[in-house]
Amino acid sequence: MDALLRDHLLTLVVFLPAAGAALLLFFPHSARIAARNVALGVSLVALAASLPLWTRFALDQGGFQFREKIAWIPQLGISYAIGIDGISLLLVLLTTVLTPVSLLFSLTHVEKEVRGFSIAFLVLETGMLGSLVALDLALFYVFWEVMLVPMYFIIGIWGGPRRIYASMKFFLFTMAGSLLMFLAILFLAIRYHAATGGWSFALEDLYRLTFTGSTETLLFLAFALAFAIKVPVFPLHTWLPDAHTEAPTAGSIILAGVLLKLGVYGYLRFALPLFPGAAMRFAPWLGVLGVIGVVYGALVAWAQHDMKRLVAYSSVSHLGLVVIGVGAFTTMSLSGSVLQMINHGLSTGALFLLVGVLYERRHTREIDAYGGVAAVVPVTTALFLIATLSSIGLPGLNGFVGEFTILLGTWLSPHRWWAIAAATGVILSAVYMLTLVQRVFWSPFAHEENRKLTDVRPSEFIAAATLVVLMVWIGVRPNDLLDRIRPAVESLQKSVAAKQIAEAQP
Amino acid sequence: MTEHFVHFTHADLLSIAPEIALAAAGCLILLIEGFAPALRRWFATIALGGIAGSLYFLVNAPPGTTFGGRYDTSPLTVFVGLFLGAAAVLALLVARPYLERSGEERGEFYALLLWGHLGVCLMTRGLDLLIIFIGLETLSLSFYVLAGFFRRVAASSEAGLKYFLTGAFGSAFTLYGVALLFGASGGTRIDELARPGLADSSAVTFGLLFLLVGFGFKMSLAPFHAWAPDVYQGMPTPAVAYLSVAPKGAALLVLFRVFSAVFENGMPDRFRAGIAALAILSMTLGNVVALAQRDAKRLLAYSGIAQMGYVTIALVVFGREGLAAALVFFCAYLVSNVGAFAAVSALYRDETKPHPIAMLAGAGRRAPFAAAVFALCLFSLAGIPATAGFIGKFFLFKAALEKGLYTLALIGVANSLVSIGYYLKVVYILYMRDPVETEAPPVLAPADRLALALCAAGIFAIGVFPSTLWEVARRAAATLPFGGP
Amino acid sequence: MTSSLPLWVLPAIPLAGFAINALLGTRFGKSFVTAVGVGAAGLATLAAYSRLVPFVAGSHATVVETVTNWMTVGTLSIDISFRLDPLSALMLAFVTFVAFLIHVYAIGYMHHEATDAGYARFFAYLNLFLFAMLTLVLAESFLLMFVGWEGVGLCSYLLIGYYFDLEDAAAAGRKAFVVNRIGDYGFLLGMFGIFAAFGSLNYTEVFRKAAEQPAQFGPALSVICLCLFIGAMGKSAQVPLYVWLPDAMAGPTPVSALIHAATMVTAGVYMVARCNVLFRLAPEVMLFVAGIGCFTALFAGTIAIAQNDLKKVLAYSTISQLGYMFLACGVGAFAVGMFHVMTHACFKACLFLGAGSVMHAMSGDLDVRHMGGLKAKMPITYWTFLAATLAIAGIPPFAGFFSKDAILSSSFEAPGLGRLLWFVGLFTAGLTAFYMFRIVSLTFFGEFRGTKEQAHHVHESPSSMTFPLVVLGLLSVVAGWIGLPAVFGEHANVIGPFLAPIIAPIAGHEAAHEALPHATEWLLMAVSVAVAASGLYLAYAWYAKQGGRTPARLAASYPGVYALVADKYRIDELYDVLFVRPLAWLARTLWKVVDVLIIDGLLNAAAFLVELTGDFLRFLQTGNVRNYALTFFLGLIALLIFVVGAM
Repeated sequence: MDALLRDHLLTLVVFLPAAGAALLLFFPHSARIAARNVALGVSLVALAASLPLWTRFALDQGGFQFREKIAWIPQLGISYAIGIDGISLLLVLLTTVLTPVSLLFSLTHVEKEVRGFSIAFLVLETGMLGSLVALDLALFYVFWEVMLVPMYFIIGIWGGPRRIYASMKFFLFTMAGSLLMFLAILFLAIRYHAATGGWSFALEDLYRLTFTGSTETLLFLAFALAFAIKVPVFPLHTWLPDAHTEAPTAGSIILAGVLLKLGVYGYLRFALPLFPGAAMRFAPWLGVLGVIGVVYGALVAWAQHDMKRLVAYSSVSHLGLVVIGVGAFTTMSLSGSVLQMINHGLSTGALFLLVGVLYERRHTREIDAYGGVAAVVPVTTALFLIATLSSIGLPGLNGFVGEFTILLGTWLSPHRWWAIAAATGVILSAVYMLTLVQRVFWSPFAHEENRKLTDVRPSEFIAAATLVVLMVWIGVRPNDLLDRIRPAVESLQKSVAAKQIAEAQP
Repeated sequence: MTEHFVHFTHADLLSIAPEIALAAAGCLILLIEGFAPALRRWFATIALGGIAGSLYFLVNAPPGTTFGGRYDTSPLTVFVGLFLGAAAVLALLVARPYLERSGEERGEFYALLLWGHLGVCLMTRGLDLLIIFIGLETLSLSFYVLAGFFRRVAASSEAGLKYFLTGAFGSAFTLYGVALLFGASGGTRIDELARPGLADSSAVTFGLLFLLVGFGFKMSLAPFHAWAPDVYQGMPTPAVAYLSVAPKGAALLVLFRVFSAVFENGMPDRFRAGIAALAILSMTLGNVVALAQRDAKRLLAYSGIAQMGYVTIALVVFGREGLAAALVFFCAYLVSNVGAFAAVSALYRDETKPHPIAMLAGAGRRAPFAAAVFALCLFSLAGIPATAGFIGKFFLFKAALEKGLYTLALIGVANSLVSIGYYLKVVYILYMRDPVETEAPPVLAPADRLALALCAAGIFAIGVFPSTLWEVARRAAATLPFGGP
Repeated sequence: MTSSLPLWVLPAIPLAGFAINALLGTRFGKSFVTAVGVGAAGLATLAAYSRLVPFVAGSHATVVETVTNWMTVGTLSIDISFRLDPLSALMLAFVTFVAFLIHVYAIGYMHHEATDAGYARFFAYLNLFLFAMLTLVLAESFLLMFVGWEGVGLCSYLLIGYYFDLEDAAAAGRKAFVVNRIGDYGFLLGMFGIFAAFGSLNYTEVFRKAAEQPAQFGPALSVICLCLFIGAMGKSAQVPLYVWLPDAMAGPTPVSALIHAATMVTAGVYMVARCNVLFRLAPEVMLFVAGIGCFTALFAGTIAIAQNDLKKVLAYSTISQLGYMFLACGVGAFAVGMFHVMTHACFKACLFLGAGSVMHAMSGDLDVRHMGGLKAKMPITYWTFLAATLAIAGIPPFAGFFSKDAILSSSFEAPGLGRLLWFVGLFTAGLTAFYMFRIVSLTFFGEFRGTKEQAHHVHESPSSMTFPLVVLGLLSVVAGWIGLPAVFGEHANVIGPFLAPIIAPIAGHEAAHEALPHATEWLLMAVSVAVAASGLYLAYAWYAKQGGRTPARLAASYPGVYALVADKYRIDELYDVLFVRPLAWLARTLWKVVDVLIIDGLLNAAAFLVELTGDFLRFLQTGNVRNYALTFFLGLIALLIFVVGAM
């Protein structure tokens, strides 16, 4: 056991949920309570198992830690190679936190096919964790695609009225991106074979490849498209509002909280370091699309009548900011982007959760169906207000630190005007979020049927409060995260710079 | 030459023992049918025994060529033989409960299946075009009858007739191709095609093209695919499960044998282009038309057409690399496709009626196991990672890219995106649509469960631990005579 | 050893109060909440003075105390560190004190207003505000100041929307926050500029660098200062960003007094004064500041004339007074500006609390047309209100006189447009006297014009409310005496020298400042007093004596002008047409057209096309064997042509 915990901790974290899912397969179809409790329990164990990653993580080094490597398809040099750096560490923890939170919320709200739901959710968690820790492109691709299936079911079976369209759209969009990436991965390995005579899909081996202009551009675009759809970058974002809106609350939390981040993560881990030349050539486009995303997402969010849709579009806006930070590519903006991914996961997760609290009681997401409900659900209101403030970047909460570092970092980059344009998000986010607060929670009491609304249940409260606590913590002590992000970001920049020099001289 | 036919040696006998076993088992079943109908319920067992026997002999047959270089026993044939055997076993497992349900448990079915299987084996092992052709015909004749197995059902007899007519058409082309090649090379042995200078003769070119058409027909490559949907629809599902996999594999192997003999050092671009065109057409047409299907078996037929389009890329890649990729792809296709048909056979109550997809609504709740395996098979056919289907495509596209066939690969992935459209449509009906019919489907027979479980296991086994399969496939492909560079 | 009480404790105390009341307040009832809330404010005040007394007595040397590092990213490293220097000391002195008084006042005021939960919420917010305000004042870096800056904005939002179930309160809260965010946008860009230019956000470092080699920052500074001033315009309600403050009166009166009169709204002035080194290096921005301030003062003053809502009048007068403060900063008299901040805090808080007391008596009614003759019924309120009015009107020796006169004289002596600014300021002073005494007359003199039940309900407020009134009333009288003009002797002016160290000398910018000749100064004083007095008299004559006939006649003879002024020049409507609606339209269009129509339209069309092709090709599958054979044959032909043709 000790050996397992020492040498295979990461594997343990990744596959615990899958094991739980396998276990659930043997449960009778009718065992609803048992199924949901097992799922929650397993996800909590996974969370507990992931905490040592945080405590044992060595701050001083930029490379990967908790590495494991086992040959998988030796003939092609494909191996089960995993490991984490500061960036993936935080995202892994975000995943292991948000999954139990979502399941905790679902305890009282998923009635249909509980067993199936629990299985799908646990498989999903393994898929997400796997793609976050994979250091082998083939392995990454497997996890990356495996994620789709459970999410497809979660949206399609437990989703809202337009769930079929939404789930299909979600699946096709993501597939469209990743299929090209699939070819690109194969091509990389073949190139490596041609160059060295050996086969390998290992990330660090493929880092060493260098490419000429057009080839690099095409490969980069193949990767970038896959990730851009996931993020999503304007104009590839239209799957998101549908998926987020139609998904069950728990699904929306995970979608917004983790899945979108995988786009940015993939860009930072693969597209950027593999093809720095092309990445730098396209960075301006990235930044511009990011800026468009920020403003566009915010404006469209403002126009929504549907609470979940509004929050969904706010994600487009927030992720746009993250993309800008990546495009600007200064230490500050990159660190900010990574941090902001976590922040967005927490704040938007909380927002979806609390919208879910209202939805599960009134079964409508229409903003106009509410109004003045703060009087009947004060605690929900308070929590929602905090989540809102975190999301609009109020200093003292997590959102601000990310926003500020991204914007300042961008200002210091050659693309100062991105920061000028994107900073308007500060105004716009306040506009649409506070409008939402005003129209749902404040204003005169509009609909009598809302009198029956009950405030958060204990399970819901614990779930939301967890996120709130994290928001405050990050807001007050951002260094706890930044210290872990810094080495990773710096080594990323180093490797990119080194490779650009290598590519410069043929 | 001819004296080899007069008295053949012990080695010859050993090498052909597997096929003899199959023939014998078939005859035994017919005899029982005739004289001891009481023993009906043992048919499946006997048939399985026959296949087991044939596989035993196949594995233990001494490697090398027999019948004067006309009959092949090599890792390649063993590999293919096992593949075919697996297909037959799964088909038989599904067959018994299927026939029971439809009250048509007649011995002919098993006998014909075994003899068809025998024909396929001959195709894969023959090194002589005539042997191959005999195999082809044996297969065809058995399955013509199987297609019309339900005499009282119009659709079935129609299927039989259609299959026969179009099949005759196909065989004619094959035979014509054989004749041309014989004329050009002065012999029917494949190795005689390897004589230098033959490659450029127009007779050989035509001959090869006719073979391509003939076997393309068996593989249901577009535009020679038209029979497949109608036949699949009318033919008993277990037979379809076999027909949709085994003969196609055999046909591709034959094409590999012949082409690599003629073009020992690389296929000329005009042939590459031609075959690529067939591949593209099949993928695209199969996938696009599948989108419009309302009947489960027709949908699977078109999906099969598309899948054959993918695997034909391997023939464009050519050489042993291509063959290895094709072998892996077919193993993946075997578990996924047979699994899918097994699920169809288990999920529909009245076998003699059409199989509208809509009837599957809510099956996820009414028959969780069958539905789950069905969905799994569909995801595998769609090529989602961690399933066999992904591995098949993985090695296929890798080979293609290695050969620089970028366009083909791109069209391939574009097609798999389209295919998701209809595979997911079925999944959606299985799980996300409320049932239209209230009464539950038949409880799965143990044999059904076993078959489904085997397919599921196979899908995951290949999907998660592909390295062994890949290694074996490569070794097998390495023994392809005239493998070329 | 209280003097060693670390600075971080000051904001920490109210923060703790907030936490306790927010988490437990609803459970333990009003008395508990009062104890915690008011206690926290009182403690904070004590703590503050325990630092202030030795500081003022001592050498006035700047103290900087670092608690810990907040965030370190790349080259950015922000400490949580606090600064005590004359400027923050002055702010600290009246912020804590006034805040405490208003906490006390709120006990009585809120008692009937709120349920237990509401009461707890109110005091929690007040404490939170105090925390944010102290952070803003004591911060040593721009970023930490921004924390307070946004924090007070948040509290203002929450407290304006305290009656969240009233449409206009909810809307006003949001408006306040959003408009402030527009200012914060400027502040943010300003900070970015500062960091880019100075590589730091710490006051000490930034100001030192700026003062040492001013040349190298020249043009950048103008942009930076402009951005910072945009922030100040938002927070301190200057034209064109003032629109939120009048609406903010929807909040409870103590809030209006504390946040929207005495403390938060002056943060902008404080920030400009804090950055005087930078601003002085950007003379064109200084002029802009002065201009905006001067115009705002006049503009808001004119609106105030025609309002009948007591608190609205006070709101506009606040805007107007803030304009004065910026005018002072604009002409380089930062110390004078801060002096006015201080005196204004006293008398404006007093006025608002008085208004609150009146509102209380009138059972919620704030329309001066329903009042009158309250003088007799609520003497304390009357006398304190009168004192404060005289102070704001600039009648010696009341507090306002000295600070306002100082502003006027320093703008008079300012080069360039100084005289113009002085004249406008002077006129506005008269205006102020007029509209202030107008409401005094309408409220306290003459006959009661309200309803019967109002009439017999009217009463003096409880002691918890009158006590702060008295204290602030007294302050409105004496607070100005620490800033007597030079004519009263060399050392008559205490505040000026005290604040002098803030105005750090800049290399190559030796201020060639020679004081006005005493005669001129006397003259200026006489003029401003005369103007103020005449304003007072006019208001008294028109509204107290003849019951407002003349103004009514005037209004009747120029209906258009009157309506326009009464409607606050319809600026809100203008903004609605110029910004809000176009943006809303754009938002809808982007959604409905770009998202739904174009992007999704194209994708769905593509998908549909593929399906259509499928449906079409399906019909080639006729089921007729002859056609199969045909396709089969055609396929073969094509293949032959394709392959053999290539030979």
